[in-house]
Amino acid sequence: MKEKLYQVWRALVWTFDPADRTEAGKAVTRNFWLHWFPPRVTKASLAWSYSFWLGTISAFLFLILVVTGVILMFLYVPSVERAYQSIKDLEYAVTFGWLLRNMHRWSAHMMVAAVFLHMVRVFYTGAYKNGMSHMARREVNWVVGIILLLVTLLLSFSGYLLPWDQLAIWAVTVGTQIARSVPIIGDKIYYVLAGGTRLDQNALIRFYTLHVIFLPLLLLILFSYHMWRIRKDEGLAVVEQFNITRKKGEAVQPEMIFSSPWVVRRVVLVFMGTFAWILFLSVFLKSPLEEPASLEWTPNPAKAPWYFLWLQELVAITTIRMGGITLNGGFIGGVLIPGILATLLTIWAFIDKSPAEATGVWFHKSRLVQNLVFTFFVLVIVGMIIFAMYFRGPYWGVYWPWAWPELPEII
Amino acid sequence: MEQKPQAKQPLPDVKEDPFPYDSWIIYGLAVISAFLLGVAIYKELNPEYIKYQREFKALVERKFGKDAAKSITFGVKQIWIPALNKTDRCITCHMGYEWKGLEGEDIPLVFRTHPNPNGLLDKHPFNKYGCTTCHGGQGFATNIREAHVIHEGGKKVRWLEPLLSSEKAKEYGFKDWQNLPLTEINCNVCHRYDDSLPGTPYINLAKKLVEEKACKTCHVINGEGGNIGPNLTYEGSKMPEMFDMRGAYYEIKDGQPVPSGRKIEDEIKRRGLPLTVFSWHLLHFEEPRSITPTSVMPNFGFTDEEKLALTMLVMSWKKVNLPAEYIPVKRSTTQNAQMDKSSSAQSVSADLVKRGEEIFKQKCTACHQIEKKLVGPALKGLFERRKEDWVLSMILNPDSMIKNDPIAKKLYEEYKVPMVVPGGITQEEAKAVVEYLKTATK
Repeated sequence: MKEKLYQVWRALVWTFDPADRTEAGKAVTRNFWLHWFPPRVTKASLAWSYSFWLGTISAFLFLILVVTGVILMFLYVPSVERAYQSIKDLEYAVTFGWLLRNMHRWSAHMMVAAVFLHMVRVFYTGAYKNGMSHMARREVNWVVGIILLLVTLLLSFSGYLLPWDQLAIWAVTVGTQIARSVPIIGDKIYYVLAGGTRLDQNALIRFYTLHVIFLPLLLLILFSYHMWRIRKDEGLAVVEQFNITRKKGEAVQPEMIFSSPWVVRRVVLVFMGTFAWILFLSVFLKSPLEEPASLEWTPNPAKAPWYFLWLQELVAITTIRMGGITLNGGFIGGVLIPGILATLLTIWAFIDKSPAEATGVWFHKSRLVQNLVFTFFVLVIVGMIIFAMYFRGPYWGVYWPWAWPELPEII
Repeated sequence: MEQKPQAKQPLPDVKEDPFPYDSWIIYGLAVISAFLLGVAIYKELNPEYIKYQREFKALVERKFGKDAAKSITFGVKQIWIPALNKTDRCITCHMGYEWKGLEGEDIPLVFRTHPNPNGLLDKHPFNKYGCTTCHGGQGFATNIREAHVIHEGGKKVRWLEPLLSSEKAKEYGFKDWQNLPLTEINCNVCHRYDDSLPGTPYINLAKKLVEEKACKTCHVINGEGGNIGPNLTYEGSKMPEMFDMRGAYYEIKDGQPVPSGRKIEDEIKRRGLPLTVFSWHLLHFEEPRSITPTSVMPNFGFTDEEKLALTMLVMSWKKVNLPAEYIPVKRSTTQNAQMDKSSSAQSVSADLVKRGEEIFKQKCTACHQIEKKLVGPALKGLFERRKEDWVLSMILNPDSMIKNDPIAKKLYEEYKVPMVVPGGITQEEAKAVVEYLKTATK
């Protein structure tokens, strides 16, 4: 009986402790969940210090988001009459409702951060380069990655509206007004996003459908392609370093390890770490929920979601009034500058002509200048986010975070 | 990650663990996750309210015996009223609200039976009105800080309706603060069209003042009135964000507003009042020009009690959707009845003067007095200066008079406020006013 059960387990799952190389290979290829791993992996590509596993962390955050999100779909009503109320119920009445909402919210924030940091890591390690390989097309995966970052931002942004409170509606108002400042088609874009001339039920159902079906599916498809490309590109870029040394005539053999069980175990480790971190945040930190959404009054100040705060700050800085002339900050700060930056970023993998040696290593000296320029932009964006988040107070004035002016109450 | 194993150089089978610490980290993370899940379960099973529910059960057991206590179950309790879009969970802690025999002073306030002054509860049963309809506060919440909307240590509870507690009333200096006078605001959200209502002395006083001072001369209230001042129909729905507390506060010196060097918020704090819209209204009723120096609203010299009453009244003018069954039956139609009566007996001249006086008090006294210059000129000796026709035209067509008549033009330049008759006036009524003025301005 025990033997039978073990056989069923092995048939269904995988051999945790393969006896030899053949079995190790079969353990991976015969398992539905593991078959996207190669049987053996270069040990160097699994190092913490190379990738920080940020891509895997992002994927697992997405998994937590899908699981908590599907449960939340049973509890949330996407209507302007009931949406806010259903969030209040989650907070106060539904069993573990607060935990579900907190986990979903923290995972979403963390996913934006993790995907962004993943991109930063790929840039610094020159991981979109192909090294000596003739097969690899890593620049394609770079572009897919940029799209994945944008989809992640849109997912987070569309979810921001769903609680239908003042924070939600005004953050989305700021965001959609920035989209509106696109010349000529701006109004049309706004109309498509909001489903009308103001944020109301039509906007809510559009954002909801985008949030729970369209964008997650798009992300899943792009993510699958992203993973598949890693296999086709012959693994992570760090592998190219071995090809380069081999080309120089040095007989360096990369240390290979079996995917089963060592890679699988490390993946489990990353998942558990991610889960524990999200659980920690969710148990101890409360999610905000402001007054029910109203377009009749604006909270002071009204802020975009944190990852768009740098755009709002740019808009505020670039809106300049000189006499009778007003410089349209919405267009310059909200569309033109971020548009140029995003385009440059997307095509950078094709522009970067640094030598093959710079593939898959942190801060290669041949890429010093572009790394510095990139760092400059990252620091400016992160700096503006922090500034707008903690130092922008009522009337978009500048205050120390501990010295915000007291705002009046009703009674 | 090599795709094809190179046959010439067979790779060594790595049998020993390449990452010797991974397993230990996994065990560690499992322990941490289990601990965090434990914390989550503990938090879920021990909400703040459970302490009160246990206390209440013990209280009932002491007072009424074990059997009575058996009926008390633990968990979130609520009164749900879809018609008003209310979910009031106050009764999760305030469990004794409907119990008989828990009225005494010895019972802690949180568990005490809800009093029923003058049969109030018979007309407003819990299952139709809930709790927050009258008391304010956040019905959804199941912890004290958020349910009672207590802002502490700079941490704000984001909720539209404050709890209209006795503590709040005490802060504003109500003499009868123990009786929850502020809840009268919420009475008048539904009862705004009642002339007066038993049990709401402040709102009744304020409504009398609105009639006496003829506020509708300048303000639209309940959808009608003049447009010299702002529309006040939904004044109670204005959020704190719409009030500029950082504007200058003015003092009146020799009849002119002079900047005091303080902001409005400084003045509010200087007087020991909380920084609220309520306090703003108190200051504004005291002297409108201390907040808006260009305001033409006169200083009516309200007493402290009148200021409180008027503030409560304007704050009760909220924009709400009331289902028909919640709209109160109109109590008083005395005004309409009076008007019908007088119109049938108009021919007698003494009646005409009396009717003119009524209309004058209703529509003119906010700006015009006989002896004193107010927003408009004093009317003493009016018919020594002007012809009867001129006065009649001015009452009936002030706009075209200001445009075309040289005297009216000059007056407008002097007083800066165009004359407006609130709610309009008929020829007959205008004649009555002229008849009255003939006797009154001598």
